[in-house]
Amino acid sequence: MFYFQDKPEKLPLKAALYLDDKERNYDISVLLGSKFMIGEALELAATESLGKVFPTISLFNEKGKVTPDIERIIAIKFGPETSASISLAPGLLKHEVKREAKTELFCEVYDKEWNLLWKETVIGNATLEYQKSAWGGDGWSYGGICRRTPK
Amino acid sequence: MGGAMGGYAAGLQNEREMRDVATKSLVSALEQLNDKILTSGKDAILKGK
Repeated sequence: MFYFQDKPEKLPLKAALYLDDKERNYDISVLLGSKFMIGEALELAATESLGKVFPTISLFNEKGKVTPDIERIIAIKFGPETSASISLAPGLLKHEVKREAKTELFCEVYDKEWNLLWKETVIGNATLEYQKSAWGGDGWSYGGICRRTPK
Repeated sequence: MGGAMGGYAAGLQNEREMRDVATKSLVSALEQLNDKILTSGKDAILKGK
């Protein structure tokens, strides 16, 4: 489902990804009443991506349920910069459509006693731009800003 | 009827495009995180190992 680059090395540690329910239920609202459950995507994608830098990665969502064999805990949360938007610039023959999404992640790495070892913030950006006919019958005629909705 | 179908199709397209662009931004963030774990984070994460 997701593709992540292989890395030349892995850190020799048994790691576990910690996501609480608040992050797992995070969604991005979309115009026309639909939404994207980006928290569920994070759970799947982070399990896969961290498997490129740790030999084993497990998942848990309750702080007291770390198994004794786990050596490092990776906790990930969405940051407030996480957002998505759509804009439409009307033209006589063509409309210019631009979608943008930004994902901000706060990451903290702990030992198995929950002592903080390292933390980092990353931001991923993506853009989709295209033209659509001003005369097509596809029903598109909207613009605006989508918003994130943390629970 | 055509208008309703057009609106439904537009809704599906809207949802698909939003999912695709949001997923790309998520993957980009996680790729960056992997790079940082192996560079700036490596010594601190391995500490005590």
